[in-house]
Amino acid sequence: MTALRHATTRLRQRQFPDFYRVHHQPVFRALAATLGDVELAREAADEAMTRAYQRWSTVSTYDNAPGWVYRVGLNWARSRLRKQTREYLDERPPDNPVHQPLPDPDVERALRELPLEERTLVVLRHLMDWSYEEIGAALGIPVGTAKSRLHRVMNELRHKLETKR
Amino acid sequence: MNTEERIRSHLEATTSHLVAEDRLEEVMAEGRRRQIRARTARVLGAAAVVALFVGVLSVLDTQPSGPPVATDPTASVPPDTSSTPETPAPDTTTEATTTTPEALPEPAGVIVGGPDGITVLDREGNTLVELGDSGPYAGISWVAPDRQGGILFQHSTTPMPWEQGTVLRLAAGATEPSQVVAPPPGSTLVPVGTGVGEAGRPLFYYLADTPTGDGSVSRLTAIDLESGETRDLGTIEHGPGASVGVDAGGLVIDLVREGDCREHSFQHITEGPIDSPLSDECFPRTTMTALSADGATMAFLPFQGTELVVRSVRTGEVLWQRQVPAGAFNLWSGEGGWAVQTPDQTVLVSASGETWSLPPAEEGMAVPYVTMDVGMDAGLGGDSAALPCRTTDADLASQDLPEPVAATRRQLARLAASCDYEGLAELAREHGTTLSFGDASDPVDFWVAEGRQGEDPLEILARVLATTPAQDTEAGYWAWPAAHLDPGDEGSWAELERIFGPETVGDLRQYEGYLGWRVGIADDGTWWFFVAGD
Repeated sequence: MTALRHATTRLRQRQFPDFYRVHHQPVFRALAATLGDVELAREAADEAMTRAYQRWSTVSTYDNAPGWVYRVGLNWARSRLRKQTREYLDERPPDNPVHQPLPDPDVERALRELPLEERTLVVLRHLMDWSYEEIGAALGIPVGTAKSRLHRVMNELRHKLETKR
Repeated sequence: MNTEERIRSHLEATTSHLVAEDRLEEVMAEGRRRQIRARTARVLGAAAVVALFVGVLSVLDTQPSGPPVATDPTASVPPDTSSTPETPAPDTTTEATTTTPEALPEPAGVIVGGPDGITVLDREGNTLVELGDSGPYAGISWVAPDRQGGILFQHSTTPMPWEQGTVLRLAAGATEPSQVVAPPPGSTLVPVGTGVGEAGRPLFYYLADTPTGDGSVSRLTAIDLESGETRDLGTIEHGPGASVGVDAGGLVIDLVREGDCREHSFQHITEGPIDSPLSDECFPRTTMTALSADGATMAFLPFQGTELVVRSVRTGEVLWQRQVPAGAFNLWSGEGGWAVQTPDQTVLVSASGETWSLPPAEEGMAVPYVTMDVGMDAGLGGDSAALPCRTTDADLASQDLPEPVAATRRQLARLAASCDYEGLAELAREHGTTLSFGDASDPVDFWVAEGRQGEDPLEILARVLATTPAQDTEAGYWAWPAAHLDPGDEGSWAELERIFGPETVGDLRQYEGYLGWRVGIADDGTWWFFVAGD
């Protein structure tokens, strides 16, 4: 390793705490909203941040490093649930629901009825306020795909929620 | 309030009160522990399984040399597809089948290899064999059927007593794995794939990647798994510039150049270059490809895409297309077909395009097999595998130490060099030695567990004791290596490079002081610690 690369690596190591302080809470909240389970989201965010630190020299170069952390956390949580319950996350009631009573039960129900992948898109767009480019980078899908899928999901939600009124 | 606003408002209301505890210190400590463990275990990096993408200057010397593999040059020549009878298209066909390659046997299921071990599933998704989450079957980075009812595999971190990067084989009916090939000294071994030679004899292809001044050289070799004969298939020089990958199926090798797009060139290992129309095309870099088991066809699937297309290598013709579920992130070739991994399922695809839906394999890889004859009772292996240790002849030169310290050092080195686990454990219990910042209540179990993850603590103990020590006069003890107490001691770092290699030591130097494996002996000869990490 060259002296320059050493210096770069050390600089990045110093930047991780800043990254953590800025992104840990939002990623945790996004995971909680997606998973519907606060404790699982907490563990997933910790695990994902640990992996980010472990590979920080690489992760810090990503276009959307928080997106990477979110995705790692989500995959870890899904994997863990599958190992524990052998059930799909979508079919499993959350152990630690994020909020009771719910501010808008109809929206909550509509979101819970979405497949996880689609709920993820809604959370990243409407809670995290990410652009389509950021969502695409986070989920490893083309921008156009993110846009069209989200458009379809929002149409579905709009239909459900407006019918409910 | 419109729908977007309602959703936004709901999501904010349900999450704004949530607070995750600040665990920055714990996260960084755990991350550091994992880094150090990984580096000191000399992890060579999870092998790029089917393709190794590296900078390439040129492909050299592709003429075979060395003892020849027994192969039938005509056996795997792709058939003249124009004369092959048309196969009835399954219901899922989206494009008319015009020709098919020579019929391959139907896959019977998939082998899944990943961090948790190896699992064999049948086509209905039933688990036939589950080879535990510990011992020699955990932490799998590459897996493939050996085409004779057994399994080939490689670990992310190879358990003792095998060298890091060794490819192992659990042969049909065997109860323990055996070594197929270990990396040549100084090289990383990257499995490429398996093929079939003369009369169905199984071949295993691998790259041995050796660092050079500003790049590396990969030597491609095929091993006949029955006879053990090897065939040298040439070298690839890596350096700054374009990239290349290697895939193999049957007796065909696919060299994939990576530039603005991907270009494929095909070689038959006995006949030389194959004139394929696919070589004239430029494929998107996001398209995954995998040669079939006989090298006659190649599957194409865009990352996260849904269109699986199979084309003839010889003619470039599209043989069939299938829709697969969304989110495909891996495409693997194996015996009798392909496996597509998506987040929700693994799709097993036969060579003729029939598909089966199996449970997902989120981590690791899933590879089709035709015959499988390994049992649940496959175990650790022989005595050496059960109690892993590489005896060492580390040179224990005399050092200027107080006699009690020198005596304990000699005793430790002798016990470590002879793999005397029990003797060391007894000494550790007697001296109250710190062996881990976690649970090491049973020293032997602890060291064996470390050994199973690729580290050989006893070998490391012997080698570290041979380095130059430093003294902490205030605390009253001696530490090996000196860099632990004096991170500015360049001579000590140089000694560590000889033990752990420059890359590992480079990583270790990112921290305030040396936090790798170290030994402490008090002035009165008490063995204080033998630990790694912080």
